[in-house]
Amino acid sequence: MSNMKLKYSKEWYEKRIGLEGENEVGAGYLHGSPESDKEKVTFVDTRIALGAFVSLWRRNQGWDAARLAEKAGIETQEILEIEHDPHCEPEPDTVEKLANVFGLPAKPLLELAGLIQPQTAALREEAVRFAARSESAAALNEHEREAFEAFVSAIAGAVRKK
Amino acid sequence: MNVSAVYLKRGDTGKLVEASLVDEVTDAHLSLWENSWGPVMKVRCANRTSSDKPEDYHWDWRQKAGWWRPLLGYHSFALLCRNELQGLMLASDFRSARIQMQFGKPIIYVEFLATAPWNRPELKKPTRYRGVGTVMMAAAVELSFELGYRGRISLHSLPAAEPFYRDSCKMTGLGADAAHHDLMYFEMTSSQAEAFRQKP
Amino acid sequence: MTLNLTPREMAVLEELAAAKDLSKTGVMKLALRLLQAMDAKVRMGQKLFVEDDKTKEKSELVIL
Repeated sequence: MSNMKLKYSKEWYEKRIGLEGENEVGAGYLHGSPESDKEKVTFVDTRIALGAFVSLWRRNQGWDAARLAEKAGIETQEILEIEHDPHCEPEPDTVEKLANVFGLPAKPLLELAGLIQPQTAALREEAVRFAARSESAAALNEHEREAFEAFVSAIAGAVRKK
Repeated sequence: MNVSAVYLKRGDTGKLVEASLVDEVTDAHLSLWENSWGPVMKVRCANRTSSDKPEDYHWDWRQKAGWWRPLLGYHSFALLCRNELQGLMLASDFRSARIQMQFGKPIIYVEFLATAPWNRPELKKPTRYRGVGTVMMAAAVELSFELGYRGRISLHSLPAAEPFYRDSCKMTGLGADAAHHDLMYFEMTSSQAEAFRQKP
Repeated sequence: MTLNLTPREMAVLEELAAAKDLSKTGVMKLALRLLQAMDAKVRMGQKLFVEDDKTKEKSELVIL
């Protein structure tokens, strides 16, 4: 830690910031570079995708969160946390019960939830793509349905490829 | 931890507003980054392909803080205005200059510099504030003087920011650096730093 | 803290201070920070290399 303090006048800022204009100012690694690729997909990103997936899945069925919770034998609050809070770590048991209701393998969903070590880079990248395409509107539109079905294939495929 | 009173300019009115530069990125700043920059970035980039997203879209400052904090040679800065995080910078102090006139002399190297998404012309016009880059460059220059490096600083500019470093900060560009993803490498010499400190 | 340097080490310290345009204390502090940073990278599993600018030949710098 330094003992540095800035002591410029107001006039200095007035003139200097005027020179900055409307330019961008970033410095560091380029997006897509090996360094940035390492931290490209975090568990927060994949949990956002998991939340979007759970939400779309139940909406595709015409279910609200309470109905899905009932079918899975878990609390409605857990569904809401998975759908809306990527910083909240779900219980492995909860994810397994949801996988069961979805008719999907549990391992990829546990990976998306950040509960097991990442095993499939392709799945993580699919998750980010899916999250970017999914919306939180009430009914699935064609765009969402397409994204949703592609992601279901990716999840199912993640187990078959291994 | 030191706090400097600085100024930013409002993008809509052009008026100066008071801001604070803190010479240490704390957990509170990282929470502000996570909770304010992240969601805005996500919304503004929702329909962009991967290659069209801002270069730092996937940067994880919290992860970076985990490795830089125990190290003496790294210096982090957070810029706040109205209790909102406006900019973040990480600099290191153990690299050497490349320009012939200061070759081999220690230099402050800006590892990462990012401004909040609402301050970026590519994401929002007019931007909420201008001046984050200026304040962070001033911080890097002052750190350089404080460590006895006579104002020498360096960085690899993201492509869209090259005009700022070349034309506004009057740094010397040494060309695209093949060892650093072909980003343009800039250095500021001692005399350029002295000029930067003067009112333009 | 008092540093006990041999005459040869002191000569190197003075040489580096002149070359780096730093005080002797500044050089020692720089060395400490550089060593800590490189040590951290090696502990993270990274390797340090030097590259011959002419031949582009790389060799690993196993110093830590």
